[in-house]
Amino acid sequence: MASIDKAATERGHQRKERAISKGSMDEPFDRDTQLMLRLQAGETACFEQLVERHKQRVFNLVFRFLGGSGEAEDIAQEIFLDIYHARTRYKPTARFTTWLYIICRNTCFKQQRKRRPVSLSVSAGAGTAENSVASRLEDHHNPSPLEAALHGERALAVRRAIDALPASQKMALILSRYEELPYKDIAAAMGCSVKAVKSLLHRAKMNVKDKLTGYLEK
Amino acid sequence: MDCRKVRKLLNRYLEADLPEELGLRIEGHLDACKGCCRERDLLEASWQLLGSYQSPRVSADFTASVVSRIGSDGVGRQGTLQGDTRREASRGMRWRWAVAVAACVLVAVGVGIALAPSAGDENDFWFSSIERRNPVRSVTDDEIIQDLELYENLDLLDNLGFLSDFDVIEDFEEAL
Repeated sequence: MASIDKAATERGHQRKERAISKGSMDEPFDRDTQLMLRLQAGETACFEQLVERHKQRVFNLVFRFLGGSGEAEDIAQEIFLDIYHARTRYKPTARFTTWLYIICRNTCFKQQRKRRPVSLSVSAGAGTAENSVASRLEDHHNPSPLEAALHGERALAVRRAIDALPASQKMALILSRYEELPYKDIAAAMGCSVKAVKSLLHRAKMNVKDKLTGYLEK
Repeated sequence: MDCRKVRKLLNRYLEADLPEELGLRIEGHLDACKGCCRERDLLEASWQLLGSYQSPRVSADFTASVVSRIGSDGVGRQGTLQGDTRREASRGMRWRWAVAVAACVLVAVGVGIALAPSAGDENDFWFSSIERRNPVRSVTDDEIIQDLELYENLDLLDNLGFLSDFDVIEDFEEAL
């Protein structure tokens, strides 16, 4: 039994090697898919490359979906851990990023069900997690105090408008507006049809417009 | 075009996702309708404003933290791969055992049902908790007719709503 299993594992490795070498010659697999296949074959260094390539993308999505939470980085790390532990189940039938977004979506929905988003205050009296995130935002831009206040107020208004959306609308909006995915990819990530995505986005935009009208017209 | 229809199509209009003729009609409406024009401007402005919601950079040690968490979950990078393989193999064995046990239970239940004593046996332990059903030993014509009437009445009760409507419809047609 053990020798049969070992032979099957060897054949699996050889199939993967052929797939990877085929990919490098004919390029049917993108770079990320090749890294995943090599990770499946045992090259753990490929996982670090995948993390480096996608860490900001994953963090951005989690940060915006969970309302600027200070735990966004921790949750983003957990997503990569999930990817690592699920690597044997990955099949290159779609792009790696599609699979990545599906895992992100599932994790975000699960986190939202568990908690309420942390409220981000423009004032300096907010908690340490919010302050560290806000300070990294300000360091990034080096604005004047007035600009910082206006930017903070604007960002707060937008964040509240997005936070008020139902989960599906919020995810569709983030994938469309910030990740700039086409409808087809959003549909694949959310497990629904393109028509459903268009409907979600339409409602999301109308809801966001309603929430931001007060800020825009003052 | 009325305003309600125009506002429903505004998002698609802004994305240029409408047939040309329809787009021109909407433009014509927007030129004349301040309310819809305002709606369009708000939609555009809010979409633009979303861009101001920026997220910060991840920390410099993000990747190292992820890798170290894998290490602390398992027995080190190389070891984790082997550990995962062993865990998956044992998981597979557990599944095989579970399937084997389930199959044995099903066979036992099937054998038990097959060997279950007949309905007339006084020591029928399988159905001791269920109300005994007396088998039909003799049936008179009266009993059959009574049962039929009961079934007919049941049908009537089930379809009472439909029949009531039918009566109403008949009365209505007569009235006409």
